[in-house]
Amino acid sequence: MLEINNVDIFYGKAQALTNVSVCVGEKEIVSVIGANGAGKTTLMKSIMGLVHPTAGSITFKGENITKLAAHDVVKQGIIYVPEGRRIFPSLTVYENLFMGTYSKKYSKKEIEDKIEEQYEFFPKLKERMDQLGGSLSGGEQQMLAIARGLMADPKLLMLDEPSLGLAPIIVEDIFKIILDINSKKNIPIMLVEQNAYMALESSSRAYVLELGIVKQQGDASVLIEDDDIKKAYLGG
Amino acid sequence: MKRQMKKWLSIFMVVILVASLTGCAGTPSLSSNGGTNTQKPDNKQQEEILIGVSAAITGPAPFDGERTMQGINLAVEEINAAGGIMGRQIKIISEDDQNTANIAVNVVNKLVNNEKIVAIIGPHRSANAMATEKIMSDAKMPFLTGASSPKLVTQVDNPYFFRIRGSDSFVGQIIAKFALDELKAQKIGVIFNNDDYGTGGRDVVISYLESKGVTPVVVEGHNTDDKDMSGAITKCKDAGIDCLIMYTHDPEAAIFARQMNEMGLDVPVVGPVTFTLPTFLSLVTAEETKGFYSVADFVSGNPDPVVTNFQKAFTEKYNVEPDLFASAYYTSVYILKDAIERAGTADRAAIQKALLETKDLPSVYGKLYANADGELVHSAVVAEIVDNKPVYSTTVYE
Amino acid sequence: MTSFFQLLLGGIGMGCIYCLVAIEYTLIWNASGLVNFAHDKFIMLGAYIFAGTLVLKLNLPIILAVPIALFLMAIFGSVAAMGIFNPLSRLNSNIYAVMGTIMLAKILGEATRLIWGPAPFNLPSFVKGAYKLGEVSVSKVYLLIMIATIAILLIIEFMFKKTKVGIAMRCVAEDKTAASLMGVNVNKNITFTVALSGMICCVVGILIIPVFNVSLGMSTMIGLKGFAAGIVGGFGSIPGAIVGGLLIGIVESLYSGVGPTVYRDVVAFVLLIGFLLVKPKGILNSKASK
Repeated sequence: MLEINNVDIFYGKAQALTNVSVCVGEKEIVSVIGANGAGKTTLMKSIMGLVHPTAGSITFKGENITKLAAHDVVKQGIIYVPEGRRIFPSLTVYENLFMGTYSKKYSKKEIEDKIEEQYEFFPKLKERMDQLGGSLSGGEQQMLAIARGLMADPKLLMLDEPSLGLAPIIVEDIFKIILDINSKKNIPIMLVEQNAYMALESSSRAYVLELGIVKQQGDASVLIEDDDIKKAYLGG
Repeated sequence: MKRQMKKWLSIFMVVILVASLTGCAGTPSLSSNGGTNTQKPDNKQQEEILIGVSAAITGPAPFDGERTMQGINLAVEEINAAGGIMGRQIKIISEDDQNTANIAVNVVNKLVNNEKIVAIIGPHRSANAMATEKIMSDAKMPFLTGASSPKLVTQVDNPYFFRIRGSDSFVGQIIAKFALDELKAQKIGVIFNNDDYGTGGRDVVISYLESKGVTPVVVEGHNTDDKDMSGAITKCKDAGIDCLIMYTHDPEAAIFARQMNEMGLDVPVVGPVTFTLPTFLSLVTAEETKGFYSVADFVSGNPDPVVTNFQKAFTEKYNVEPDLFASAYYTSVYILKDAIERAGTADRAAIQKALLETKDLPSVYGKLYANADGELVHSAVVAEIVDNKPVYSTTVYE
Repeated sequence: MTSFFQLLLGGIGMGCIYCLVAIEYTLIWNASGLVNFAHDKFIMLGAYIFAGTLVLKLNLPIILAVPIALFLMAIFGSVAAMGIFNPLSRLNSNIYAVMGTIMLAKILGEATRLIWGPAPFNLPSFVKGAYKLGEVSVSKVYLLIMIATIAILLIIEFMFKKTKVGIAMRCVAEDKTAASLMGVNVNKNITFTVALSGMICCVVGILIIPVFNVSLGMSTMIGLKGFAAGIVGGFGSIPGAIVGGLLIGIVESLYSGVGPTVYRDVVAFVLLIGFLLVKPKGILNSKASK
């Protein structure tokens, strides 16, 4: 579905990604793990058009999206829940969810229906509808960010560090939700995570990024048993 | 590629910035005869008499400058067509002083440094004349201006200064006298512009009133370009004035007229020439100027044949009525002609001496004569603004 | 006592103008991080288009001239956004944007002088006169200003809360990247914001014609004071613009009733400097007060 082929990305003179190729299939959850600064977020940004590759191409469902700007990538159906959540703190929960549908032309009823749908995964949102996004806890903001992403009926959902800054019990909840989204709604998910364990546990395939290069890739169940990976990312 | 673009964009921007700053802030030279510095070894050109002009072409009251140049050019045309001065043609070198003191200083410096210029007309506003009078006297350059502030004579002793309008020391007295004697005012409000013109007028008016035992109940100043006069008007209303004396320029006077009308300050207003100026009248309505009186130099409707002839010639050439600026600066050229002819030669010292001896020169301002202070005009006309038009009432002599 | 009410009224009237000016540049600031140094020329241009061309030259009735002028200024704002604000806001340093808008101001000033001439003029019968409320004289124009200000505030409030583009504007102001991830075309949104700001400038320009006449310098002071109002009320905040505008308007008006009117304009700037020194976040404690 999503194909990133031989992509190079530079920030000024520094090369952030070298010859990176990644793909995500129709029903998959695919993880990209690696240390801080490995290039994981850069990869996501390049898909979203926030930064453009100097070499290589990115295609989505056969369409070449390499040079598209972010708002046009969104219109293709790729939704990115960025690192740090980045919900709009001065907007209410309702308004945040509303903005999630910006790229679509929903009627007022359709938006109401879509919000109802989110209560299935995120029941707590219901009582917080009129609260400002900035007043929610970290975990609630993450849920809001994901719910906001789902509002647009994504064809591919990308999550950047969903576990960042959250208590372990919340992280478990979040990953349960991620699995549910994939299985119940049939949405393919691309996941970038520092928490390699949770990521590999939840995905079907994974890539290991190191200093801008794809060091390893394969089935997540295999990688999770790999000695090198265990040593580097899973605490021995 | 992106970085290169940024570099070019920044160079481009700097170029535009420099170009626009020099283009817009420079003082454009407006010579009525084309070039200024070309010295053709042509006999005819060497015989020309060069007169410098510092006029307010741009700035807060640009019509003043336009009329100034029109008046000057009409006079120059008439004189040159009749053979010029002593057989020599007049050539005008004019600069835009933007009606601003520091620009006027630059302009006058430029003009006095041109050795071929033998006399200067302008700058007009008192503030600008005050700022440049020393440059004139240092260069021994006789200059004629319509600046009416008495300060040019009381605070300054400049033998090269010649005034071609009634001084405010004279006009101001007429205004105050009119308020007391004709309008029978008892509680007078004085509104003045904070510049040399307004403060000069205010001082004359107040000192005349006090010499008659009357103290104005409100004295309020404002700045050029001020747009809201409600504070001063409220103070006047509170004091219950029955007459307002207003010494300011046309844009500010127009705002006063309107706001007075809206706020219900319904008293007669007496002031200098300002209220007869088309640039004032075009901004106000008849209702707002009801009861306005102007002590002016020049008003159409004056039956004096010199005035009507000038009016006819000006209107025919420019399709617009002459005003104070047109008449004053038209007259200034004729004053210079008279002085140069009496001096027999066109050089600064001789002209200055001859100007001081001006006597019995007919003009649109009556018979002109020079007193020891360089004042040339000694009469004024009183006009009432009726139906938003100045109506000639009477002529007063010093 | 009547003079107090008289001055208060005038103060509220002018305060509304400062408030509108503060709003129009705050909108651009919030959206693009740029200060529109040409905003007073936008106001002047709106007035000249309305009075000079539409009413005096083409003899259109006021009821037609106003929307046409608003429309033209919206177009002008869009062009300015596409040509100047958007490209310049992307460059590394803000200095280019500052230079760009300053130059735009100069160009607009000169262009206006060339097109309509340097002499001030007036619309003699446009919103003239006053109503009498007892001893107090209520200028029709101040009434109109207050009504227009309330209308604009309500429209903006509605836009920000209930329309897609308005909510998107708030997002663009808060986090441009996140907004683009919602599918918002940030450049288009900023263009819309500048167009909206241009329309507000046009309204201000039209409203001040009965007070100031149409002249090249008509809007310089209110541009500066509106700027001060935004800072006093809390930079970047719309409610702050209202508070700051009214505060400056009322204080300067009341001052002119007691102190020498020559120093009237100083009041706004004394307030500005005072707030910058003592409470730089403004009355309403805005976060954006850099």
